[in-house]
Amino acid sequence: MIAIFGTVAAMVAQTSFQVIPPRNVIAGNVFYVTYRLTNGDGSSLNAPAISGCKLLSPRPGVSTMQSMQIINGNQTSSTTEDYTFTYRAEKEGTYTIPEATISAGGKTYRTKSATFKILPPDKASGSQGGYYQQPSARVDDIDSQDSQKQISKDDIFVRVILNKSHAYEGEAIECTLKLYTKFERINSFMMTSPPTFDGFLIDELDTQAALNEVEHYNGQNYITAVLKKCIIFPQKSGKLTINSGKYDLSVVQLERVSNGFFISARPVEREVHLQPFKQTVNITPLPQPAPAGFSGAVGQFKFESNLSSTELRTGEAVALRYIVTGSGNIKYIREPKPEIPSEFEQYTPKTDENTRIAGNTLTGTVTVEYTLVPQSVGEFNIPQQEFVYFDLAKKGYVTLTAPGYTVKVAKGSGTTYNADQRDIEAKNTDILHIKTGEKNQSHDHTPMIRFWWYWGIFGCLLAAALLGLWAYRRQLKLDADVAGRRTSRANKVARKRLKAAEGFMKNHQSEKFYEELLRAMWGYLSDKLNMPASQLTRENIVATLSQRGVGSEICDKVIKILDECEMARYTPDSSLDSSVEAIYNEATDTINAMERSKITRK
Amino acid sequence: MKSIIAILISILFLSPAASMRAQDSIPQPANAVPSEESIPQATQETAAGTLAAQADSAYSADNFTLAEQLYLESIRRDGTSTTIFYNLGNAYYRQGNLGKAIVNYERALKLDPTNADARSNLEFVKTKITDRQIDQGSIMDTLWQSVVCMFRADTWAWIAVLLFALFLAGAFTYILSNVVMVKKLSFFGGIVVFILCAAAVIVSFAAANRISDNKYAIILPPSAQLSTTPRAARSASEEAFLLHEGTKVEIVDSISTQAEGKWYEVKVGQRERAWIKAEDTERI
Repeated sequence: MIAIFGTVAAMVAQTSFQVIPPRNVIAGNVFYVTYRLTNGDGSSLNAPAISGCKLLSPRPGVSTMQSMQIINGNQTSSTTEDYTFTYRAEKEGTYTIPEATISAGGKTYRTKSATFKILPPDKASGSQGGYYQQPSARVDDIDSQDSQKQISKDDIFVRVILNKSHAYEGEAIECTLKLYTKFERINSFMMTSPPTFDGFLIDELDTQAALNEVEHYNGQNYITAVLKKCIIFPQKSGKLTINSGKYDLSVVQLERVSNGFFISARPVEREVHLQPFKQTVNITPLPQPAPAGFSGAVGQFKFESNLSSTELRTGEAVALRYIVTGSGNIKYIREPKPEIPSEFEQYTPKTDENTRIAGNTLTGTVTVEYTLVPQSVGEFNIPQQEFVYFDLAKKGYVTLTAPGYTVKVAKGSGTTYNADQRDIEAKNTDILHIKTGEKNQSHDHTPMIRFWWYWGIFGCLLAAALLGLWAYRRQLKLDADVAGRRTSRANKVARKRLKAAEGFMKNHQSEKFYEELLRAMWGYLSDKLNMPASQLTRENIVATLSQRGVGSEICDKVIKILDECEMARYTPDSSLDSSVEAIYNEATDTINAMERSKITRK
Repeated sequence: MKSIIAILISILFLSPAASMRAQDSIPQPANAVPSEESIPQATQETAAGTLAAQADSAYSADNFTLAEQLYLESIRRDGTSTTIFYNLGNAYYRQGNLGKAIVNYERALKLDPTNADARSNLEFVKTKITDRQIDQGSIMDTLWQSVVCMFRADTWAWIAVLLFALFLAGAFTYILSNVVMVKKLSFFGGIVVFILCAAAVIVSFAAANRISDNKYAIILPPSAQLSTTPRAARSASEEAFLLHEGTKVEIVDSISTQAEGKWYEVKVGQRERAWIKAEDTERI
């Protein structure tokens, strides 16, 4: 019946053969190697010999397991055959379990070879001589885990394991927190204070704490469990300390109880408080001065840029990406900041991290995406971008350059978007340029106000004003008095006429001479005495002249000249040159005398 | 009418500074002028007028150290001007010497407060210095200063002359006119113009004093410790405050001793007063 099922099952299930190697074993202990055949009916197993171990059971213990599943009416079944051999580890070292073969269903299957370690046995602690000294607890000997024994700090503890003791600032360090215990049975485990990583950035790896590995440490064998595994990045230089934190746990010891004949072992829980374990690491600062634009990245990186399109329209978004790939503190680098022309509207850059812990460092890709929207038409240049990191292999700074782009922006279809007028934006402000040309240099910059001539201008202006005022007022007075003007002009007019008369005298035109002389006399008297010609009679003249204080002598002379002239004018034959000249001189003298006598105004 | 003339004459003779002359009218940066040897040989023979032009071209060629030396030599030989102080200030700024740049911009503005370029550059450089600008005086004070700085001193003097002439014309019209309206207008107009004229004369004096007084100074070293007494502070209790390059201070007193050298008592802002070593400052 099994065979029928087997043939049915064989249609779906694959046959496989594998070896389950032991965990690390301690020398002198017994261990098992199991070969597992799945979905097959095996025969003629050929188990190889393992060097350094002694095969205790020439015939393997066989166990068979069957399982059947019906999923959605589909029936699957599987069978498992385990062949277990028992060995004793003889000598410490690393050993290989060679390939084993089995034939099933007419075919021969082969295992892969596997390795395992045989650890040395515990060294006896303390002095060897004391017979009474109780041996310390041992992993492999349950009898040694006696409740009467104190649990020493060598029996159970936590260690911080770093993969390097010296590192640069920002260099990845693998850090493992491991529990070492000689007691395989741990009932409760609690962290009372968490581990501290002062001065580090941490990237944790998910671990399931499980006791699974036997490890030889300080001459003792322990079962270990990884509590925490992480990659840490020092952020400052100097001696940095990692503290494992505090743990409370309870282990199970055995208490021997004697009830008459038998001595039975009873498990007893015992509380243990683990003390913190401190591990220091020396962090070297990065060489100073760091080049300009250093991104803070330490490790090994590649840098590239990517622009989704170089021919755009206004209002269309374009993505500018900078991609950093590599291993190191990639999550903690400063993102590149390109100098984007201000004609582009910028949005907050989007950073995309895709990293994982690989081995003892962090690898992956960081993408920084800038979304740009051109606002103006034209050709713009996005300059090339540099990425500077510290290369751990070269122990120096490396500058990577991503190319720049020239972007052509054409007018977009969006009309309302760009319709607004825009303010002029100053990109840079600086001092104004020097002034060239004439400097008008001078050694003396005394202000004008400090010179006397400046105040002289005020004096001159004032004097001119006063003078003008005086002259104007005088003129006004004269204008107001017409008679006075006539009087003052009388002499001038008379002299003019006398001059004309003198001309006639020299030409011997006596008639004209007398006429002119008379006109001069009458005119003068009329002007001077302010009398109209109609009133000019000899009597009036004499009366007015004497009234104005002119001497009677002069009055007589005036009358005499007038008489003589009128006489001579109408008697042409008496035109003697001598008498002409005499009368001319007399007339001149009389006028001068009258001027001198200052005829007063009325 | 007689009384008006009497007033005019009294103004003329009461004017206090009619015979006054300023002796120390212009600051000479004597200590800053380099020696003859430091000027390149080529410039020695050239005509005086082209020295400043050479400095301009040195500046344009980004050779600011040479430009500075040439400007200083030009000042020594041909005298100062607002433009040359302005250019020298630019040369200092380009070399990162903010204190000296501010000194020279201030000097340029002292000679010509209407030099807009110098004012703009001074404001710009002042934003680069460490100490925040301290508010100078009250609103009235600021208003008065801005009136005085509206024109150059000589422009104010000419405005005063013009207003005086206008006043005389008004007085003339008042005396001679027979029309009541014209008489009234010219009377009050004349009074207003006379007051304006007097104000212009006062402003001219203030502007002239602005050129000649040198009570302001600029801090030159990157930082200077001021003390409460005229000597270097011997303990923390004698330290007054710290001033930085480019800050403008008003010198109110000065003292010279054998042991401590020359010290100025300076006023910063309205209240703060302290003593500073004379070498740490340069008068504008």
